[in-house]
Amino acid sequence: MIRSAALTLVCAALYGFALGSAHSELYAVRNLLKFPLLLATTGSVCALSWWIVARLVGAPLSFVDAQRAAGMLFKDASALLASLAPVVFFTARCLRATDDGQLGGYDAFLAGNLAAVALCGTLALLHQARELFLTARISPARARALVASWLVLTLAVGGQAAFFMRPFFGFPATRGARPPLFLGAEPDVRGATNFFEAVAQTLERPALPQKWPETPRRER
Amino acid sequence: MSESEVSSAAPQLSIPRPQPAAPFAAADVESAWLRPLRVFELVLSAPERVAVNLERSIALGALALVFLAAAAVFALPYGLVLGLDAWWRIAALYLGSTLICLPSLYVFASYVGVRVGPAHIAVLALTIPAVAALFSFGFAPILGFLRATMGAAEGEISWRAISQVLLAVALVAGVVQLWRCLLASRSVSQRGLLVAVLVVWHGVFAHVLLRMAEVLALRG
Repeated sequence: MIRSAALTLVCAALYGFALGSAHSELYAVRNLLKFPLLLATTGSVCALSWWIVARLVGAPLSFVDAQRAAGMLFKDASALLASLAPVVFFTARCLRATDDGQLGGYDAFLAGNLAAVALCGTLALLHQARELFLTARISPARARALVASWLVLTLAVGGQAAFFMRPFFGFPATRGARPPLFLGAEPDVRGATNFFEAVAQTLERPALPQKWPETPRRER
Repeated sequence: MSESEVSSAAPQLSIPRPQPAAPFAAADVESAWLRPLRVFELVLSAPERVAVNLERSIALGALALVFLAAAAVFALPYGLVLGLDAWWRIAALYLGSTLICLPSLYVFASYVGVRVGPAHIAVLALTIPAVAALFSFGFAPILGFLRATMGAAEGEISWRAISQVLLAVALVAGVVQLWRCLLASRSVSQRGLLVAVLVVWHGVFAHVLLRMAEVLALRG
């Protein structure tokens, strides 16, 4: 279990480093710490609820078993993301070399990485549901319900943790600035102060403030 | 290779046929007072076993007491996250609402001809606050994390709004568990009538619960 956790953190650090390279070495190096911290925080906060949901679904998992099964989700997703790290790193360096110093390819890079995280998360989810079905002798429907419930909890907590720990990579216009390690609850470009507001604004697509990007200190 | 050989070579994904559920013995139930983690098994993991207890009228008083205690105790951490002076409010919300509505469920069920004792009704009804309290126990670290990272400012989506969603999820889990118990209990006399009474009773319960949430300043 410790080896798996270590592998997960190393893989997350690799992917984080590649992601941060789109902005600067500062962000890349910070992500070596921040990405593993993101996973560790999410796992710690969700641990109890993962187990309680497993008990409700009828999965015969002890507290440690539930952590191990949920941890495997992280491990698989991290390994898949780490395998994409060279691609992300290459793309990041290309974008950085050719951007306009303002927005550059930020939106496309963000969308591409969101797609990669969604793909890796989904694959890990399907794999883990099958593992639970085979090893814990849980019916397929229950295994899927359990893993989907874990995913919802993890996304809600992980999303907020990611928002609090931002920036992981930023607009090229902010290059050269030295933001705090975590922006915390500071409003983003559209004024969102937490992950849930940011999701709502992504759906509602409000216009950017007039002053942006002249003062683009705040970023995702 | 013949068709039968192909099918026999395929991985076997079947799960063992479930054994008939055994009821919780009185000693099993009483052991929960000394080993609180056992409460999770009694309340969450085996509604089909509780159903057998209901069918055969085994240890119902002890089960009702454990459910009552679980509803009172496991809701406290979530209340403490809401505020030091709010430690009792979640227990009051779920357990208080249930206790207010419990007499009506028993009297109406008896009046329409359902032959169940007060202990049966108490176990069934207390399933809701007990499960909701255990879920709130699991959600307490999540709410604590959200409260710590979402800031004190009341934004568009505040941690209090997320808290209401979590409390609603806990409540739904309790209601689902009640129905799992009831539907697994095949030999409860006049089950159709009890189902009808319960459906109407849920309306009364929802009304009381929403009022209680307003009184306790947990809503809006």
